[in-house]
Amino acid sequence: MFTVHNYNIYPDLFYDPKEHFWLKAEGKRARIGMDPLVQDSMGAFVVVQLDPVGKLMSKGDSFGTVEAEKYVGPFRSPVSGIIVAVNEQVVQNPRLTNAEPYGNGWLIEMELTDFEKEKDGLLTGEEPVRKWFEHEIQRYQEKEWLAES
Amino acid sequence: MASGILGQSDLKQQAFAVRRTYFPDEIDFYAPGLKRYSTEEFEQKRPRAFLPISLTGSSCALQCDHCESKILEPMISPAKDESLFYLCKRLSDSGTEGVLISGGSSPITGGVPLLKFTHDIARIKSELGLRVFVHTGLVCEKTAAELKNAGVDGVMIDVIGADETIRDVYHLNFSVKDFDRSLELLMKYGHSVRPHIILGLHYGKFIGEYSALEMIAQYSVHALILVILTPLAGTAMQNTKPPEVSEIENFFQESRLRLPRTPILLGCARPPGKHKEAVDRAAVDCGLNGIAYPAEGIVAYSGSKGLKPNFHEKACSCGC
Repeated sequence: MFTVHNYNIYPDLFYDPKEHFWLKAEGKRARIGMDPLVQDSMGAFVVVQLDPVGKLMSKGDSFGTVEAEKYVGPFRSPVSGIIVAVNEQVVQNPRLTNAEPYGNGWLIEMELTDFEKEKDGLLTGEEPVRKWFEHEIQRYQEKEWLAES
Repeated sequence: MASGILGQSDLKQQAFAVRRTYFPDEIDFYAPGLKRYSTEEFEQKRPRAFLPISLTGSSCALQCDHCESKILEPMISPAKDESLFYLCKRLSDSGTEGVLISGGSSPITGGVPLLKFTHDIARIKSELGLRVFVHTGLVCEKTAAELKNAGVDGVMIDVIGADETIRDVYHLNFSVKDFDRSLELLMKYGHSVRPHIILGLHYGKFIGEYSALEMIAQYSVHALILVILTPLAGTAMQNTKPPEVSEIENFFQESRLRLPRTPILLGCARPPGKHKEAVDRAAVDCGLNGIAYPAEGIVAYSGSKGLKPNFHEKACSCGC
């Protein structure tokens, strides 16, 4: 693990550079959550709705929605696959995603259907992820998504 | 009720027909800077254009069962020793064009403590040129008069039509008559009134909503805003089931038929996910005039009904 501006980054995870999800892929299965930067910009999660187990998705499809202090919108899947597990703890206690973005605050698990191709669009490893994250922090600051209101 | 003995499908069609009779074939979508918002159809470009302010920070003495101050938490508050005027000046300097002033309510008055801020509001209007909308709660005559003198552009008030909801959910020692009196006072002083009805407020059940609608129908309000109980984690209603879409749709139809010439808008507070998609669709079908933070696909759906979309980055109750 390393940190960028006090945000923890795990270089063995895959990161979606567009939607800020992290993926922990093990074989054909992946656990998915949101990285701490995007959560910081959204504020405390107030309501999380997740689609059910069994849903088949293509990359970019919505798998749920979030209403947070500063954001409302869909979760868009970083990869294609089938939802095989939903984190009910997060549905009951949405702030868990903010408190434990990499731990108990995960969102769904998927059985991956096209990962070999799709992983090329994700970032992994310290150097690429660090570079991207630093760029994103700057971008978020310019947009005042991290500034004190 | 206006519905009579028509079937549900007939009522929906009738409601939409009423809309087409009295309004242009346009629908307004709102995404104020209270939250960042993004779908494939509508992306905010100026999220700081219109911002909410809480005069009491995240404090509210009422601790209503559906909210328990959660709704106030993301709002902006004056910093320590900062006046409302200087907060608004700071916002204005960074591009804000309008504010919604809200806050926690007093259990004694049932309203937001606005009287000590009317002088600042008058300065915000005259010196900064911001649009100012105020969420009042119950008002007395003095508050209604001074807000008008201060030049507010519009006032919002949650209208509750059942004494038991006022008592059991809002924990207020007031009655339906007091809400009626507040509406009367706001209208008396010439305010642009945008009342809200929270559907399913009483633990997911419809109790006073139709009475609230009837109360509002006695006045020429500027617009009616409908929102839906949204169970929030950490509140007494966190496990409450929101009202069924069919009940909500019935109310949309009835509102449209009862207030044929009044803009009716679907506000931002409503359960997310599939429920929201269905409710938004019902809002379009039943002839409502606008939707805040529309679900994905609703802009296209409204286009399929012959409605041209307009997009606004301000609160629905303040943008109409």
